Amino acid sequence: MRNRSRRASIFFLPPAEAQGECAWRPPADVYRTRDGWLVKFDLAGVRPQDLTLAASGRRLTLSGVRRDWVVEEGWSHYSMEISYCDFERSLELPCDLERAEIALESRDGMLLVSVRVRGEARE
Amino acid sequence: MSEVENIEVLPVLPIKNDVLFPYLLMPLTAGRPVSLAAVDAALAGENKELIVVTQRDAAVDEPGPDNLYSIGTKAVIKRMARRPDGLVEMIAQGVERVVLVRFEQSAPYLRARARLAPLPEEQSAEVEALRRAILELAGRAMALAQPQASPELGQLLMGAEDPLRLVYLIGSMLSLEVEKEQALLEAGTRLDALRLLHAYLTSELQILELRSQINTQAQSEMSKQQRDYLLRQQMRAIQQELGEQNPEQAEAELLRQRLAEADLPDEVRREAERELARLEKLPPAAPDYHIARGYIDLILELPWRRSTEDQLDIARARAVLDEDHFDLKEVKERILEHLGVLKLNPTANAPILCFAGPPGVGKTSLGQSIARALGRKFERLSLGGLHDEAELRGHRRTYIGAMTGRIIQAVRRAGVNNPVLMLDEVDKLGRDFRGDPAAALLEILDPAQNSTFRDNYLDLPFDLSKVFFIATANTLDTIPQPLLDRMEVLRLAGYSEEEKVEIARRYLIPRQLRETGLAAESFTLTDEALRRVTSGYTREAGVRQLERAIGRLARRVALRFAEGQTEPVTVRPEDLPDLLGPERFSLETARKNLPAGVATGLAWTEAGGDVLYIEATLLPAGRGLLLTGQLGEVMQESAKAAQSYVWSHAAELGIDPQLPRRSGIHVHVPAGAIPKDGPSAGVTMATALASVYSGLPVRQDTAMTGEITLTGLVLPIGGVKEKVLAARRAGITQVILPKGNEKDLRELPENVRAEMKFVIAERIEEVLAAAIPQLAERSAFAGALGEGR
Repeated sequence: MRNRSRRASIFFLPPAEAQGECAWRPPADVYRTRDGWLVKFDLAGVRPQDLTLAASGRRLTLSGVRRDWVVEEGWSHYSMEISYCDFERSLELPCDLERAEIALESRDGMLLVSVRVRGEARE
Repeated sequence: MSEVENIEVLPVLPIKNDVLFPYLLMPLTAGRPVSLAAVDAALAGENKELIVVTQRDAAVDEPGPDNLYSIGTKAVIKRMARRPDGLVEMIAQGVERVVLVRFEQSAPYLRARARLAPLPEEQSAEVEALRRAILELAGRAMALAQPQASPELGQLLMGAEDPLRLVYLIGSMLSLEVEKEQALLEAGTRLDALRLLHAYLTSELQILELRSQINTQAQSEMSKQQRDYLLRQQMRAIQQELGEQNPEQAEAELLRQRLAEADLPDEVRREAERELARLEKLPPAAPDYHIARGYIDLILELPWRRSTEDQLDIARARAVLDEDHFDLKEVKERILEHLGVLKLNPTANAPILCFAGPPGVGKTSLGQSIARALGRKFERLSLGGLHDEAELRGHRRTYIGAMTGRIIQAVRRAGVNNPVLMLDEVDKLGRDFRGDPAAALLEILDPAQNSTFRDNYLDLPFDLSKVFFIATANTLDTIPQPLLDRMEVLRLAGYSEEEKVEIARRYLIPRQLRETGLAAESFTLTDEALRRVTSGYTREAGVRQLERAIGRLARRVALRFAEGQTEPVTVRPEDLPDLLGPERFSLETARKNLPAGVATGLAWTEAGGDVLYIEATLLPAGRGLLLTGQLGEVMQESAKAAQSYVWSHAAELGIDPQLPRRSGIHVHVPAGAIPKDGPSAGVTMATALASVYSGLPVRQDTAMTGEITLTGLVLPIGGVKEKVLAARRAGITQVILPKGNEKDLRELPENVRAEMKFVIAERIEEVLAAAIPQLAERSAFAGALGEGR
């Protein structure tokens, strides 16, 4: 099934191929807002119930699974580039999240996580 | 996690020759219907999951559950695309180790119930120790396999904190057999997996080390040479300190001693000393050292002043020549003449002879017996096919692999400066862009120049004037004129049947008896049988085929003796078909009852003489003269001359003068495939034409030869002896020859002259009178009529 010669002569694969993590990592932008932080995840097609957000200390961890809910009986894939299955993304913010208010909003395929830190206002 | 959660039912994708490990990505191509169906089923699911299992036997195309390992990997398809040819390419990522519990279905794709079987966490000193050992081994292997590999890779390995992940990562990178990879996947605990990988990695490292050892071997060979050189230098320094001689100096000393003892001309000695001085300065490893050494050796070995004493006893020489060869009076006389000259003037230059004659008449062996008669050394070199001037004259010493030419080599071999040097096949010299060896021979064979012959390699004048050169050739036509001019040509004509019989009696039969080990009295060949062998089994001017035939007879008889016969054997003509097979040549008999228009001519060939018929026939008017039979230009012209003569003298010859005007004529000379040339068929053509125009046949017992001119003169031609012998073989009794060839009749054996009638003709009318007697009567009658008128 697989072309064995790919490995026959080289001892080591290029890192990119060998490095695969089990879960995929959604890309994220982090904004500094007037009263806290906004983290924007590129996370289209994930159902809200398949999503978990956890905060501990300064670390914000988004994990879940993207399922391909489009397929119907009798269809078949012609090509596939979107990663399904588990994902996980972990970020560190320069603030204590335990004391922060965290809100989730899904807009146009992006997941917005706003973090409002109590008692912190921007000058 | 509960028990239920650990069980999943998923499509199964069988793969060949590889194992997918958890955590790792692997590109896969699915082409088999089972695989395609499994992939489609996985893609139809929301999570794109399937189980990748390795086949036990890669040769099986449609593997059933029995053909799969029971431990595989749950994987997620990350990317996929369909190729135009229907195959599906994808990148799958291993997620977790699974144990296949039960197959739920096998068509259209395999589907199995599997239990997730992750290896439990394990933390012990041994695990950590193995992890570090593996990291260290991997680092070394990486350095050996790809010294320039990117440092990222190392960091990646270092970064893999989970030992299991490290195992899978390295395991997939090693070029392991499938069985080993599968064993790695099946390892029940982390410790087992680590141990297994450690073993694999160790053997892989050994292979890599061996490989790099082989690679460096070539390098070390080089450095060994350098070491040897250094040691040699040191040794020399030590020897100098000790006042000892090194072997090279000893060699030079030896050469110097030989040089002092050698009898050399002054110029040569100076050159040799100069070269020796150069040699002493050269390191023995230098290529020039051996060149110089070889050159000095050559100078020392060449017979600059060494020669053999000639045996000037003429009676003895005559006896030797007669003993070896029959007849050949002319050649023998020439040799004896030279002996006489040498007796009176010992410094006389040796003659340069050229023996020309058909193959097998004894040219080469004659050279040997001349050497024996004179008491000289004999050397022989064959020039046949030689096409490079440097072969004769040598290469200049500056070229790598330069050698002396063959002439100097032959003299060196002879060891004396007056050998008999036979240049065989001088007519078969080639020539090309590298030069013309014939031109080099010009110098070698010129008595005025060859006393200072300069070989390119030797580059010193060598005196060849004492060398008795004998060239041999089958034909003189291909020898360049200037070269031919330098040689005294002695023709060795072919032998007649009587001569052959005589030669066989005297030389061939005794020699063959010696070779086969038969006693002379146990094998007798009657005269008649010998003649039959000569005429029926051979056709040649020389005696080579004859000797072979006699050899064959002798071997046959020897076989009979070996099989137990004791009675002496006498071979009679009627025994020959049994011993030699059927006769190969029917006696070349003259054609009987020649029709008008056919005349018998005589031809000279390299293999002796031959009878040839010239056929002429009338054509319808306006067809002119048609000539066929591969005739050369000279022969065609001679046919035209014959035709013109016959036309212009038709009336006098007794031919109706209107006939040539009214009709064309076709002249053909069989055999049509053999090219013919030369003017000697002129009279035969004229006779054939006269015969066809007059309607009177030519006498069948008569053959003729001679060149014709427009005024009807008959000019002399060559090869009379061969031609007459051929005519006689064919049973012809009368031969018409040009007046100019009358003298050649002396060459013929006595009995031939007695047996045959010769008509000597000066003009074509005499030829016609002898060849077509009726025509002569008619023309005489016509002449008388004309006079009467």
